[in-house]
Amino acid sequence: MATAPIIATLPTGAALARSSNVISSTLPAGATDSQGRTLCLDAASGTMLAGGSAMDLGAPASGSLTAITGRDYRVDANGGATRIGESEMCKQGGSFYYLDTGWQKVNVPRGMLVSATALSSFAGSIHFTEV
Amino acid sequence: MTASDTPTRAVADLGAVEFAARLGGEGLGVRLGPFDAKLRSDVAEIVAPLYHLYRDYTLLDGDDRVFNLHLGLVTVRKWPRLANAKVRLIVDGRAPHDDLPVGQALAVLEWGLNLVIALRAHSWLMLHSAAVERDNGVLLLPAWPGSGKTTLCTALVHRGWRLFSDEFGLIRPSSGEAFPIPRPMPLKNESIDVIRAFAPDAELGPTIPNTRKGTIAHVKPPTASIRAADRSAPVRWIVFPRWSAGADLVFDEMAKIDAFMMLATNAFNYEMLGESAFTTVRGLVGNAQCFRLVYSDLDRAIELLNGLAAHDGEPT
Amino acid sequence: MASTDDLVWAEFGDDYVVYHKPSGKTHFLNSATALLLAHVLVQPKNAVEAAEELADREEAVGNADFFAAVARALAHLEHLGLVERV
Repeated sequence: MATAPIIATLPTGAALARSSNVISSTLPAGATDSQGRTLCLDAASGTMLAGGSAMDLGAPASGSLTAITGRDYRVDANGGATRIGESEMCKQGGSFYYLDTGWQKVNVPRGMLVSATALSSFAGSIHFTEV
Repeated sequence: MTASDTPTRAVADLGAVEFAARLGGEGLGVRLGPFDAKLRSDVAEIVAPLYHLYRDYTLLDGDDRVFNLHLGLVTVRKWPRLANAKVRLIVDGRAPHDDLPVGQALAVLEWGLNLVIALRAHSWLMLHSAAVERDNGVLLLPAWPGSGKTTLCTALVHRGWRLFSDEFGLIRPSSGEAFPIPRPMPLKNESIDVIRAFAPDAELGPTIPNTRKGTIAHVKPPTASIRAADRSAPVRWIVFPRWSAGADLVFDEMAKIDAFMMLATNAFNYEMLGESAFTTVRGLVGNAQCFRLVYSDLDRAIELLNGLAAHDGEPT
Repeated sequence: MASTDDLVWAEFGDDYVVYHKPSGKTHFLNSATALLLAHVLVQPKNAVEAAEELADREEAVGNADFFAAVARALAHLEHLGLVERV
């Protein structure tokens, strides 16, 4: 019988998070969870390190995260406003809008993209908000 | 006399008084493997243990030298409770985390060095791994925190292996060779007494209680390991160790693909280095023998690993 | 169709690891997936054609479950960016 194809993807961001209370940032491709939400760690959660590529969450570790649902976001509440992606929303921070029976507003604190794997090392220490 | 003719000095050549003066003043330049570090501290409690643990390291003089790492440790006393002094780690003028009790100063400095290396040394593939060497072959011991790798590493270097590192497997992507960065090895909790019994000649720094990792004591690297810190070597064995109380000894050869996944997952900067990290891990796994080790008896684990090296890779 | 120029390979017997340059991701593949990427999909094929050729290359027979698994694998490979529809 023919063998079915199998693919598994290497999780990222694990080593640094597990060895310390430092969580490293990730590329946009690595910052989505199993539900397709973009994971944005609030910059005020800790001390940004190494030019924004990592954050120390302190001892004991704590922080706040915004999980941004994938939608068509705009920078203003009108159809002519510029589109903005979830990773850019995280980088900039602020209020953004999407259309769903009227324009809905979401607030995203400026932050750093992180992977679900790196985040799992801090389970229970991070306050989680979904938008 | 040219710079290359100048004999190297060790920290011990300074004498305790001059050491304290430099540390609290212009800063102490010291070579840590491939890194030239400048350390400054006004924390009185750290002077004696630092002098003890770092006495064999190469002293770096000279105002014109460029240092890779700059760390400072300063005392912070807050009104009105002046007795509760804390220490603040300073890296490039910024404090990366909260102040911690002054009694933990040595641990804060050592963690600070780890942090700076892990965040910056991206010309290396950095593995969360102990590394030791024998007969020009490096044994990598990649493992998550709590697996017992520092205890195992400390034991190995007191049984004839050269210390590369208990924390960082530094791999040069262009050559696949491991480079040493021998540093004081932080034992935690019960491991302190385990090593005192296993290696009575091991030199330990002060016992530091109540840290975020429990009680810690640092073991000074053997002098020979520090003096050989400029000698790289190829990786011949990769063993993923896990200490488990009461466990029977397990030592199995690993499928290369499993070793690849485990090694990449244990790399601090795998994603950052991208294709270079991939090809480096591919080379490491392809050229080394890869094993999984579960143990509860340290002596048996050491005997097994010594046998690995003696039989050039054939498990006994 | 597979973008073979974007892949860096590591082969360990019947197991494969690929690094996908555009995404920076590393994937672990069995021999069937490696055959798909390296040989079957270098020319465009639909899911049925891909499954038939894969079974052929494996010198084996594919049943309905196999064809369904190949279709799922193709969807997953497309999601990962390792193949694209043409």
